Amino acid sequence: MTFYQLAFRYLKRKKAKTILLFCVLLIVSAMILSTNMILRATADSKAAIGEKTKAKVVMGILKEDDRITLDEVEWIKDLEEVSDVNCLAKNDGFPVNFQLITNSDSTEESNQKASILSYDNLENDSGFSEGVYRLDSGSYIAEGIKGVVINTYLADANQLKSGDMIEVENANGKRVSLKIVGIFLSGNESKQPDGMDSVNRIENQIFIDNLSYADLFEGDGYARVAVYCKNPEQLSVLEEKLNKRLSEKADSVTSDTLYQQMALPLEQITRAAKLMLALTLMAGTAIVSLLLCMWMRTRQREAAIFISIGKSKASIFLQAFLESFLVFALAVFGSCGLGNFMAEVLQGFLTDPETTDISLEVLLQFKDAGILAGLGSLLILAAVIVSLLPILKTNPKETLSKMEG
Amino acid sequence: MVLEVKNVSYAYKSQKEKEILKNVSMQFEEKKFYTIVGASGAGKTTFLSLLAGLDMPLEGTILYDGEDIQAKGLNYHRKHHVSLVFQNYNLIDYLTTEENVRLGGPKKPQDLLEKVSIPQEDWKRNVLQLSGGQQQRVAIARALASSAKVLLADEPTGNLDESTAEEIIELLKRTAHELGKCVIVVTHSKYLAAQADEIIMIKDGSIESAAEVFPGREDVRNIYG
Repeated sequence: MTFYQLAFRYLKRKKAKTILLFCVLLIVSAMILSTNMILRATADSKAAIGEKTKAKVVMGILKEDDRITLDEVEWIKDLEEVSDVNCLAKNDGFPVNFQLITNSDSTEESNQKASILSYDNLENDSGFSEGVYRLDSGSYIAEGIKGVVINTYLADANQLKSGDMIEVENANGKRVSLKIVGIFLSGNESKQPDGMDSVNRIENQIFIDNLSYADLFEGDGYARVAVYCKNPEQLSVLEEKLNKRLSEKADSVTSDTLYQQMALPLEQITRAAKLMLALTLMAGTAIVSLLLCMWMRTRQREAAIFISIGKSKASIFLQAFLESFLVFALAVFGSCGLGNFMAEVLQGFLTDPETTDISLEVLLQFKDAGILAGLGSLLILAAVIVSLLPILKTNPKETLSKMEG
Repeated sequence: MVLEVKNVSYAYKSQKEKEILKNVSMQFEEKKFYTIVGASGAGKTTFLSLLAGLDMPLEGTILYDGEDIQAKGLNYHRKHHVSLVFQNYNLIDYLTTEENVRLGGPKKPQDLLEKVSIPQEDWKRNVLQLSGGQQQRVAIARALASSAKVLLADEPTGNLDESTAEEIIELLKRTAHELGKCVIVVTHSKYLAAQADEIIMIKDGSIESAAEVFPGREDVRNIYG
C-alpha cells in the first residue's frame, strides 16, 4: 500500500483526530487569513495614499545660468522610482499685442516686461496647488492642453478672453503666439503697492506650457523639476539618485509630509498585524506540533511496524505530512469560505467611523488564499518534522521491544 | 543455506563492555522450522532483530543467500528477504484485516487469509475486532504476503491460550514444510521449542545444559551469549 492510500485511510478511520486537527487548523488558517487580509488592505491603502499625496523631490537650480537640461529631464523620467515629472521654468518676456498692468511711472526695463512661467502641469507645484491662485475660468496647462493662462485683471484691461491669441517676445525679439486657455485670480492684486515694477506684479504673471517656453527662449532648460515618486517609501532612494547626478547644479527638497501623516495609522495597523501573524504562526506551529506529538505514541509503534516490514522512512514521513496537509487543505477551503464574513467584521472593526478616520477596504482575494496556503504548508511541515523526527531517529527495534513489554 | 550468521557480536551502545552476543556463528536453511530458546535477557530477541535487519551487529556479518545484508541496505533486507511476526501481533489499527495483509507484500490477501483460516466475513472488518488468535493469524498472513524466504517470529504464541497457540504452531510448521520457508521462532515455551526441526539455545554463561532441557534431542545447538 502506498503512503497516500494509508494517509487517506488514516484520516477516514481516525475521525475524532481528523476533526480535532481540522478545527485547530481552521482557527489557525482563519487567523492567518485575517492578518493577511489586513496586511494586504493596508498595503493597498498605503499605495493609494502614496498616489494621492504625491510624494516628490523638487530639484531647484543653484545658479540662474546653469539650468536642468532636457537630457537630464529625460534621464530623470527613465528612473524606475519616478511616476511623473513636472518641469518649471521662469524668464521675463515682453508683451507684443497687449498692455501690461503698471501702477508705476518707472521707465526701467523691469517695468516693461512680464514674468513668464512655464509648467508641464500648472495645477501642481504652483501657486494654484498652494491655494495662492485660483482658476477663474478655462483650464490649467497640462498634457494635451497647451497655451497660456493669464490674470483676470490683465484680461479685462486688454479685453481678452479664453480662446483669444496673445503674442510675447523675448529680449532678442523672438516671438510666439499663445492661445488663452485659462484665466486666474489671486485676490491679492489690489493689495500690491503702487510703485511695484510690472515684472513683479501678480497681474503680469503669464503661465505658459513648456513647449511654447522652449520655443520662446530656445530651450534654455528648467529652473525647477518636481519629480514624483511611485512609492513614497522609496523617496530617499530617489533623492539620493537625483543628488548623485545633479548635486552640483541643484538642491533637493523632499515633500512627503502628508503621506507620512496619512500612512502613520496604517503603519501602526501593519505592525500590529505582522506581530499577530508571527504570533499566530508560532502558536499554530506549537499547537499543531503538540497535537501531533500527543498522537505520536501510537504512531511510533506504527512507524516501527512499517520499518520492520521494509517501508522507507521517507514514505512514513510523506504519509504523516500528507495526512496533516490534507486536513490543512480542507481548513484553507473552510477559512476561505468564512473569508468574506471575516472581511466584513474586520472592515467594521478597523474602520469604525466613530473611532478612526482610516479608510481601508478589507476583501478576500485569491492572493490571500495563496499566502495562507504557503505559510500554512510551512507550518504543517515544521509541525510534522518536530513530531516525527524523534520517532524516525529511534531504533525500531527499541520501539518494538518497548511495545512488546 | 539461506541465512548465515558469521562471528557476530553485539552489545548495547550504552553498555559496550557487556556483550549480549559473543562471536555467534550459525546457518539457517529453507524448509526448516527453527526455534531459539534461552533465559530472559539472554539475547534471543536481539539475535532475531539482527537477523531481521532491525539492528546491526558490533562485529561480524549476516549473509542472505551468500551476500552481506548491509550490501543492499537493511531496508531492502527487511522488505525483500525477511518477514516478521510479533508477540503483540503489531497490526495497523486503522486498517481492515485484508489491508493489513496487503501491507506485507504483493501476494493476494484473500488467498493468504484463506490459508490461515480467517473467515471471509472478517476480511473487511477492522483488524482490532478479531480475537487474539485471529490477529496472530493475520500477522502471519501479512508475513506470508511478501516473497521473503525467511519468516522470523518473536514469541508468536506468548499472548495466546493453549489451543490457539497449538494452531499457530501448526501454521508455522506448515509454513516451513509446505511453503518452503525458513521459519525462525524465538520462544520461552518448551512445548513450542520442541516442535522445531532444530532448536537453538542461547545461554548467558549459565551451566544449563541443552540436553537436560530437551532430553532425547540431539539437534540442540548452543550459542553462548
